[in-house]
Amino acid sequence: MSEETREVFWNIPDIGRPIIYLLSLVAMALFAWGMHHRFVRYWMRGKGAPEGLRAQVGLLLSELRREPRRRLSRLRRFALCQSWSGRRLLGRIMHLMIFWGFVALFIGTLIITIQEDLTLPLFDYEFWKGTFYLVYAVILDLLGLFFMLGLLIALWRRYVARAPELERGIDDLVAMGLLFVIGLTGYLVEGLRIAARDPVNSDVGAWEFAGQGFAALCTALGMSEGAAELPHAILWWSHFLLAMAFIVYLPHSKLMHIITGPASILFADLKPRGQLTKPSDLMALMEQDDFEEEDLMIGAGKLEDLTWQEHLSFDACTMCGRCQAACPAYASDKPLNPKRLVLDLRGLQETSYGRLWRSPPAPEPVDLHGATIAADTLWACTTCMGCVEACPVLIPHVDLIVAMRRHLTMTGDIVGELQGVYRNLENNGNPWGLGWAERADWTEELETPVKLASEGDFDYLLWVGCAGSFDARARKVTVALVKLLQAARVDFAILGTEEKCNGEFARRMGNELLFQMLVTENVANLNGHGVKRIITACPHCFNTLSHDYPQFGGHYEVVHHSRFLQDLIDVGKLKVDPEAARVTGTDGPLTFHDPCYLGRYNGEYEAPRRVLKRAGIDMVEMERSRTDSFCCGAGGGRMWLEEEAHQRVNTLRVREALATGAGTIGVGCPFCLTMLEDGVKEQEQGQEQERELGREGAPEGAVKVLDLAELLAFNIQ
Amino acid sequence: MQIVVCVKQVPDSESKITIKEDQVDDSGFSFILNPYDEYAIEEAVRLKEQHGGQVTLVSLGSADPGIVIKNGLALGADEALILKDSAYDRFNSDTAARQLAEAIKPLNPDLVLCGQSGIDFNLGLTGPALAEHLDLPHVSFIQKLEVEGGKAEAHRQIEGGHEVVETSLPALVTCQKGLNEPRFPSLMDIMKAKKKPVNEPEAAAGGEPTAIIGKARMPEARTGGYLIEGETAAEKVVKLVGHLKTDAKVI
Repeated sequence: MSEETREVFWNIPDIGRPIIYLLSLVAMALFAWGMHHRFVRYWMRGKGAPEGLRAQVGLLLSELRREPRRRLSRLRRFALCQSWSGRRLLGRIMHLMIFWGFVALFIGTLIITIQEDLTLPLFDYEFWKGTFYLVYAVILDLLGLFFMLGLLIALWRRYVARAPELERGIDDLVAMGLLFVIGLTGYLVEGLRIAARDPVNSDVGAWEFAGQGFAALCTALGMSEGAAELPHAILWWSHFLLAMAFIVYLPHSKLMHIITGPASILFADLKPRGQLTKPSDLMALMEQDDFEEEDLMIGAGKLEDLTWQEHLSFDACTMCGRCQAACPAYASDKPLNPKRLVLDLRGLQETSYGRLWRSPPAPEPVDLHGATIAADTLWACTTCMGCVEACPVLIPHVDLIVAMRRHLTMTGDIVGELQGVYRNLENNGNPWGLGWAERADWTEELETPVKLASEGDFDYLLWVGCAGSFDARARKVTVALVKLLQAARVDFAILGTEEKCNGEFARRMGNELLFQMLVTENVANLNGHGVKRIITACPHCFNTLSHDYPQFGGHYEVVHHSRFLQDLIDVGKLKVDPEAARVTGTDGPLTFHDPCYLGRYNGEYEAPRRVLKRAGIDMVEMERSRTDSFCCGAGGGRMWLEEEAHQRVNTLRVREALATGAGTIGVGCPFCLTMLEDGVKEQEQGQEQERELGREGAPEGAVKVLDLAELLAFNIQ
Repeated sequence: MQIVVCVKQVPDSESKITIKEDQVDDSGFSFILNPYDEYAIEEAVRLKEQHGGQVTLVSLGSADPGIVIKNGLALGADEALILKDSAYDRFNSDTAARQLAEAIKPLNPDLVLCGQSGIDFNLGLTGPALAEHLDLPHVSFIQKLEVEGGKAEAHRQIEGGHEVVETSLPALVTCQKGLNEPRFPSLMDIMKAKKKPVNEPEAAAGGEPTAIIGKARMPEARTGGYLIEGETAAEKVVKLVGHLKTDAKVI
C-alpha cells in the first residue's frame, strides 16, 4: 500500500507547470521590485539613513546587533503573540486567527515547494507523505478555517458593526476580500479533488476534514466523479492567479504591514519611553560666537527631518485605529487624531519622495506644517502615551509630535498663551510666574522644619516641584509627604529657593532652549550639593529627572513617592494602622487614577495601589486603568492651555471615576489633582443645578480627590 | 527710518520686596524687560519691517541690563546703547530723561518710543520729560500707531474713550498695553541677537539729580481682616451676619 500523500499538480495539464513557474517568478520579481522601491524610496529616508544599498543594509545589521534580545522579545510580544494593550479582545482574537492561519498556509505552501523544487529533483527525496502528510493536512485544514473565520469577524467588525476607528476604503475591501477568496477557493479545490476521487488519496479521509466535508456535499448534490474535474481546474487556476495577485499587490496595500509591522517593531527606538532626543547642546551653542544655521534647525519641519525608524514606523501603520480610540484629545473633540496624523505623514511620502513606480520628482522638500498638519493638531496632544501604548507596530506618535512642536517653536510659531508661561519660567522658574523667592514658603506650614541642601549632608533630596511649592492644594500634599518622611526618620533635604522648574513641559511643548536653560541651572545646583538620590511626588518631575537629565550630566537615582512610601511601609519604617485608615472623610471606596507619567511612561502601576491597600482602603477600578488609563488632560503642557467647556478631557475622566461609585479619587500627581478636582466641582455644580430644577441628580456629598501621601498621612501611627 | 526705543530693566512684579538701610533691597528680585517697553520694541520692529530703517535700543540704569538687551535684540531691534550710572537708582524721572536725551540727540531719530511707564515705580514721567528735553511733540498711552509720509496718527486711551492724535515726525510716543502682541522670538532670532552691536559709551555728563529718593519704607501691614470659616455657604452666611451685627455693628 502506498503511503498517504497527494499528487501536487493533479488535474493540471503538463503545459501548466511551466506557466505556473513563469507566473510565479514574474509575481515574485514584481514583489521584490515593489519592496525594493519602498525600501530605498520611503524607509531609508530621514535622519540617520545612509546613501547606497550596501550602507543601508549595514545600518540595519548594526542596529540589530544593539540589544538583540530586547528587539526579539518585542517581536515575540507584538508580532507573534500580539499581546497588545487596549481592551479590544475580539480584535485581537480575530487578528491572531488571521495571522496564524496565514502563517500556517504560507508554511504549508513552502513545504510543498521545498519538496517539489528542491529535495525531489535534487535528491529524489520525498517527505511530504505518510504521517507527516496527515498531520500537515489536519493542521492546514484547521488553521485555514481559523483564517477564514478571522476574516469573517474582520469583515463583520468593519462593515456590519462599523467600528468607528476603522477605515472602509477600497484597499480595505480588496485586501480582505482577496484573502478570503483565496482561502475559500483553496477549500473548494481541496473538496473537488476529493470529490473527484483522487485514487492515491482514498485513505487520507477524515484528515482533510474540511475538504472531505465539501466533497461529501458535492456528492450528495449529485455531482459525479468526472463532473468535478472541470470546476476543479477552473478554481485551481483562480486560486493560483489570486495568490499571485496577492503577492504583487502586497507592497502597495495595507497588507504591506505583514512585512513593515515586524520590521518597525524590530527597529523601533530603544530609548526609555519617557526620554526625548537631545537635538543639539543649545547652551554650548549660546556660548559660541560662531554657529552653523543648521545646528539651530531643530525639530521636524519636513519629512526628511524625521528619523528613518520613524519613516519605517508610519509606513507600517495598519490603520487599526487603536491610537484613535485611546486618544484623549480625539475623545474630547480636539483637532488631533493620532491615526490621521500618522496617515498624513505617510501621505506626504508621495509628494516628498515621489510615487512608487515613477521617477523621483524634483527634490523640493515639502513643508510638514500648515496645509498638511495644522499647528492646532500638534498643540492638542497631552503626551499621555495612550496612542504609543496602544500601537501594535510601535509608532512613536509622541516623539513625532514633539519633533514637529520643536520646529514650530524654533520658528517662533507658538500658541499665544504659552508665551506668558514661558516667560514665567524664565523669570521666576515656575509656570505661574510667582516670585521665585517664595518657593520655600510652604515650609512655614510645617511643625518640624526641613533641612536645606545647602545646610549639609543628607541621604535624599526631596524635589518639591513647582506645583508642590506654589499651588495651594498641591502644597498640602507636600506637607503630608514631609510629615510621612519625618515620621519614618528619613534623612532628606530640599533645594529651597534654588529649585527651579525641571523644564519638562517646556521640552514636551517643543521649547528645547528654555528646557536646556532650566536643566543647566538645576543640574549645576543638584551636582553642587552632591545629590545622589531624589524623591518626588510629581510624576512629571520624576520622569524628566530620571530620563532627560542624564543627557545633561544629571545622573540621579530618582524615585516617585508612591514607590518610596511603599518601601518605607515594607521595611517597617512607616507604621500604618489600617483600622484608623478609613477616615478619608468620605463614603464609598476609592478609585485610583493612574498618572500617565508614572504608569505608561515608567511602568509603575502597583506601588500606589499597594500603598493604598496597606492603608486599609477599599479600592474599585475605573473602566480604564493601568496601561489603558485615560489622561486627566494636563500633560505635555496642556495644563497651561485653556480648553473649551465642551472639550475638557478632565470632564470625561471624572465621569468615569464617578461611575465607579467611589467616594474618593486617589491620585499620585499634582496636575491630575488639579484637573480631577476641577472636574469633580464641575460635575457637582451640574448636579446641583439638576436638583434645583427638581430633576434627579446624584446624591449630595462631595467626592474628594486626594493624593496617596495625604491618604496615608491619615493613618500613620 | 531711525527709531529709538528706550528700554528699562525692572523687577518682576512677583518679586519679594524688602527694605534695607532705607532703600529697596533688590537681592530677591528677578529682573525683566519692562513689559510696556516690549510693546514699544514690537511696534518699532513692525514699523521697520514696513518702512525700512534701523531700531536702536537705549537703556539707562545702574546695573548691567543684560537680559533686557538680549531680549530686546531678539525681538528684532538692530543695536543697543547701554548707559550706566551708579547713582541711577536714586534718580527721579527728569534726571533720567535728561541723561537719555543727551545720548539720543546725536542719533537724530524720526521716532522715539517709550513704555508708558516702568512697572517698578509706575510714574510715567520719563517719556514725556524726554520729549521735552529732545524738543519733540509727544503722544502718551498710545494703543494704535500709523506712520505715513512724515506724519504719525496715534490712538490714545483717555478716560472713558479714546482720541486720535495726528503729529508730525520726529515725535515721541509712550506705549500702552493693547498696542500689539509682542512676538515670540525664534531660536534664530535669539542666536542672531548675540551678534548685534551693543555700545557702552562713557557715562554721559549731566547726571546731577534734581531730586533723589531719600527714604523708602514698606506700607503698614493691614490689620483687622479675617476669614469666615465654615463647612457650607449657609453656615458662613449665618456667621457673617453675626459678625456684622456684633463686631461691625452695621446691621
